[in-house]
Amino acid sequence: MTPLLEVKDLVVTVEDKLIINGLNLTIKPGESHAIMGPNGSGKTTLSNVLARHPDYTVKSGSIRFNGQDILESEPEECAQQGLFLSFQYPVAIPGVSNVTFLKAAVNGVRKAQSKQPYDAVEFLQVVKKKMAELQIDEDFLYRSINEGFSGGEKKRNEILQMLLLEPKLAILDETDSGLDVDALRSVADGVNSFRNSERGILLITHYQRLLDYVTPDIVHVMMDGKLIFTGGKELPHQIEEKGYSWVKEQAE
Amino acid sequence: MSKQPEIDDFVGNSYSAGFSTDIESDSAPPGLNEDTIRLISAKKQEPEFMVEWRLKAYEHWLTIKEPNWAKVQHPPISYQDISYYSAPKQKPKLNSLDEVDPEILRTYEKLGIPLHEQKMLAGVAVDAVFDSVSVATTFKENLAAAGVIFCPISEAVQKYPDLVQQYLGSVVPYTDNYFACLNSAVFTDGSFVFVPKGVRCPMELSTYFRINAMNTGQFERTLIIAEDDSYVSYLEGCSAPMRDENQLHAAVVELVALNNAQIKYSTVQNWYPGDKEGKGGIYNFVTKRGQCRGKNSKISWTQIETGSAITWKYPSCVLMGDNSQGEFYSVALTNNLQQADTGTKMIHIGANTTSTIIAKGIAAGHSSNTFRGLVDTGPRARNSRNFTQCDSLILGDKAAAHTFPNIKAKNQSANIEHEATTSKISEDQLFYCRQRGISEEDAISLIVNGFCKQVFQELPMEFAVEAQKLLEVNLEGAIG
Amino acid sequence: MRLALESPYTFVWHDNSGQAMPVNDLQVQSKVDSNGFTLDIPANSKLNYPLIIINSAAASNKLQTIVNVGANTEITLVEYMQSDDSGAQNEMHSIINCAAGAKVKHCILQYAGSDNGITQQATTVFKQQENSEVATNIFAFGGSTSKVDLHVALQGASAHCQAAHLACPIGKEKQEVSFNIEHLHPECTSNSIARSVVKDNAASNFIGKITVHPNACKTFADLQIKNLLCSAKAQANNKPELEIYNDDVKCSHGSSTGQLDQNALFYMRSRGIDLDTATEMLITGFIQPVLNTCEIPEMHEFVNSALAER
Repeated sequence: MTPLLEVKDLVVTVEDKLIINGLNLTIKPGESHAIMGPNGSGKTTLSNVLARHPDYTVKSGSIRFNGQDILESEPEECAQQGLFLSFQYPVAIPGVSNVTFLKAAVNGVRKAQSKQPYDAVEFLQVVKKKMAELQIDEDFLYRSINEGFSGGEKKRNEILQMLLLEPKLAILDETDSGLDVDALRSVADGVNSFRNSERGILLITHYQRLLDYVTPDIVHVMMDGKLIFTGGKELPHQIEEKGYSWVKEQAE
Repeated sequence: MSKQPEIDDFVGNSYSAGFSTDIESDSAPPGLNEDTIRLISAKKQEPEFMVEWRLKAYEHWLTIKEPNWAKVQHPPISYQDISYYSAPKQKPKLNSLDEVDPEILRTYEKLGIPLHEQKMLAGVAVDAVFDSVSVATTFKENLAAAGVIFCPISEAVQKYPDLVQQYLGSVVPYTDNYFACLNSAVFTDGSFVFVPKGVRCPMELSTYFRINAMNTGQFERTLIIAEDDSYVSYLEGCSAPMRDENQLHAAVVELVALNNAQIKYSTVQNWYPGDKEGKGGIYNFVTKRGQCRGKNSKISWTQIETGSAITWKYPSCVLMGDNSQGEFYSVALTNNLQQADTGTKMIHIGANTTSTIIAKGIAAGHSSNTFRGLVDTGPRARNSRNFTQCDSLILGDKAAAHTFPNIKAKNQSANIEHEATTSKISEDQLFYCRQRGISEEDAISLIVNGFCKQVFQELPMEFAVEAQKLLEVNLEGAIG
Repeated sequence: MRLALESPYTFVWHDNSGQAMPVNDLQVQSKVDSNGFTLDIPANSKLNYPLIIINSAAASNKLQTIVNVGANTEITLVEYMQSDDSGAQNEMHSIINCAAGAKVKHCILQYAGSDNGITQQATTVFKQQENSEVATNIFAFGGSTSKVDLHVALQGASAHCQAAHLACPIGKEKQEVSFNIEHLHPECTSNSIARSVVKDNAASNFIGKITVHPNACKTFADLQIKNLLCSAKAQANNKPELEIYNDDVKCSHGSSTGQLDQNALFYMRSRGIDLDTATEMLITGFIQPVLNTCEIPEMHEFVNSALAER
C-alpha cells in the first residue's frame, strides 16, 4: 500500500539556520500520528515544509505525498492533491468573506480532482450542514476571514475547512492551543468524524490535551530537528508525568 | 522574484475595449485661437453670454502656465496640434434611437451599454456622447414628468440659459487652474442635470464618453444642480480605443447641492492606459468639485480608476452648509508605466460638517501611484469631523506608491483622524489561500478585492460589477 | 532655566565662540573652531557621562557641531539651546555620524522663556551605518518661533531610529517642525512620534516625510502625529508623507487632531476635580507617551519645569 506520506532524511534550513536535521516519517492510509516536542524543536517548521511554504529551503532529503515527490510542487498543487494544513496562527484577510473564500477553495480542489464545481445554492447547503456539525453560527459566513475571531473561532474555522475540502492527509498544527473545553470538544469531534481507513492525520502538539480526545495510533517525539523517539498512545501521558528530558534519556 | 510573472499576468488583462469606430467626423482643423472658440460656439448655436464667457476664459488661459507640482511626468502637450471640435455627420436633432447612426449604436453595444436593453430593463436614461456631440438622449419624457432636466450641456445652454448662467463656473471658476481654464474656453459637451425641489430622481443617470478621432481633445463640462430636498445618483463610465497619439481629457464637473440635497457621483474609468512601453494612452486631467451649499446637504464621490496613462484629479467637496457631508471613496489601480496623482480635498467651512475619505491605491508593474489629500477645517467649522484612511498595496518590486496628505486644523473643536499604510500582499495571506488549493493568481485577486471592498460597496450595483470585473474577481455577486 | 545634568564633557558655545573642556581622557577628543565643535568618540567605548553641548545666546548665535561616534560605541548626547535676549536668532546645526553598531541617546532642548521675539532653529542630521541605533527626543520650548529640522539617513542595513518631538506653544508662538527619514538600506526600522498641545493663538506646523528607496526591502517605518487644540484660535497643520519605492515594506502613518475629551473632563469633574486640574491632568496624560520615550531622567525634570511655566 502506498504510504500517504513518506519523509526521508529531511534537512531544512531557514536563513542558514538548521531547523530540521535528518527527519524520517511514514504515514500510511488510516493512520493517526502525533508529533510532540518542546518549543523550538522544529514542529511548526515541519508542518510548513510539508505544505511547501516557499520560505523554507529543503537542503536534502525527500518528501513523497501519495507516492509523488512534492519537493518541486507549489502549495496549491499539494492542496489540490489532498494535503491540508490547519495553521497554528491562522491569518486574517480583511474584506474577503468566509463564504467567498471557502467556495473558491472547495471548487478549486474539486476541479483539480475532475469533480463538478458546486454552484452557489449547492455550496451553501453543503457548508451550512458542516457548520451545524461544528456548532458555528451562520453569520460567520459573511464575516471577513478570521478578522476579529477569537482563538477558538479561528480553530473551528480551520476544522470546517478541513471537513469541506476532504483531504487525504490533514496536518493539524497546535490545533488545541487557545481553546476552552467546549471548543476543544467540538474541534475534536470534527477531527474524529474525519478519520477513516483511507485518510491520514498528523497532529502536532506540545500538550497532550487534544490527544485525550483524538487518540493517535503512533506518537513521536521531536527534538533538535528530528524524531528521536516513537511510541504508542500511552506515550503522551508518560511525557506529561516525566517530561521531555526523560524521553531524551530513553532515546540515548 | 518567481512571483512576478503571476502578478504581471493578473494585472495585465488585455484591454478588451480597444477598437475604433470608423465614422466620418466633421472635425475642426487643429489649433486654438479666438476663431476656434467662436466656431465651437457657433456650431453649438450658443447665446451671446456663452461666447463671452469662453473668450474671457481663453484670454485668461493665455496668461497662465501649466502646473508641474504633481508627481507625474509627460512630454509637453502641444495645444496647437489638437482639433477642438469633432462631430459625427448626422442630423442636428434626434428624437429617437432610430435616428442614431447604426454604426454608433453598434459601438455602444460592444462597449456594454445596449440602449435598447437599458430602455426596457434597467430604466437608466443614457446620455451617450460620441466625440464632441451628444448623439442620443433617451428617457427625457420620463424624467421630464418628474421635473428632472437631464440633457447635454449644449442643449441646456440654449434651453435653460438662466440656470446655466447662474451656476456654470460657480464651483470651478475658469481662473481655478490651467486645465479648467482651457476647458471653460473649449468645452464641447457634457451633461446638465437639474433636480428641482423635493424630487428624488427616479433613476440613476448615466453618461458614456468616447474619444475617437485622432488628436481630438475631449473637453466635457458637466453641471449637476440638486435643489432643496432632492436626490440624484449619477454614473460616469469611460472607454476609449487604442491610438498612438496621446489624448488629452480635461473635463470639468461641477456639483451644487442645496438644503438637504444629496448628489452621488460614481465613476468607473477604464481609458486606454498606454501600452507596456508607456506609449499612447489618455491623459486624464480632470477638475471635479462639489459645493454643499445647503444645510444638511451631502455629496459623495466614488471612483474606480484603472485606466489612463496619466491621471490627475482631486474630486473635492466644499462643505459650506452647516451639517453638510462630503465623502470620497476611491480605488486607483496603476500598472506598467501608468502614473496617477489623485486624491481629494475636503474643505470644512460650516459647523458640524463631516467628511470621510477612503482611498485604496494599488501599484503594479513600473507604475507610480500617489494619493494627495487636503483636509482643511476653517475657523467657523465648529465640531467638524474628518476620517481618512488611505492604504496602498504595492504589487511587485518595481512599482512605487506615495501618500501626501495635508491636514489643517484651525478650529479647536475639529476632530481629524488620518491613517495611512503601505505594504505588499502578505506572504502569510497568500500561503493561507494557496494551502487551501487556490492558485496564486486567484489568491491575489481575492485579496485585492478584499482590500477594495469598502469602496466597491459604495458603487451603484451595475458599476460595482464592472469594477470587480476590472479587478478580476466576481464571486461576491453570485453568492449575494 | 538650569539644566540639572552635569558632566565633565560639557561644551559651551556663547556669543559665537566656545571652549572645549579639557578632559584628560582618551574617550572624547574635541576640537573647537570659529564655527563650533567637532567631537570624536573612538570605537568600542561606552561613555560614563553624557556629552552636553550648551548653546547659550544673549544675542544672535550660530553653532555647528559634528559628532563622530565610533563603531559599537554608546553615548548620550544632550544639546541645549538657551536664549535670553529678545529678538535673537539662535541657530544650531549638528551632524552626528553613527558608525556600525553605534548606539546614541540624543536629546535637544530648546528653551527661550516664552513669546519674546526669539527664534530658535535646530537642524540635526543623523547618518546611521548598519546596526546602529538612535533614540532622539526634541523638547521645543523655544520662544516665538521654534524651528526643528530633523534628518535621518539610514545608510546601512538593520539600522534603527526612534524620534520624538514635543511642543506646547502658547501666546502667539509658532512651531515649525520637519522630520525627514530616509530608508536607504534593507531591514531598517524607524518610529517617529510628534505631539503638541496648542494654546492661545499659537500654531503647530509639522511635516513628516518617510522615503523608502528602491533597495530598502524589509523596511518598517511608522509616524504618528497628535495635536491637542486648547483654544479657539489654536492651529495645527500636519503633512505626514510617504514616498515608497520598494514593495517589501510595512509603512504607516497617522495624524489625529482634536480637543480634550469632553467626556473624560466631565468624568473627572463629577468626581470633584476642578476644571483646571482636570485639564492639566489630561494634558499630562497626553504628553506622557512622548516623555516616556526619553531615557535620560534629567530631561523629564527639565520638561516638567518648562511645562509648569506654561
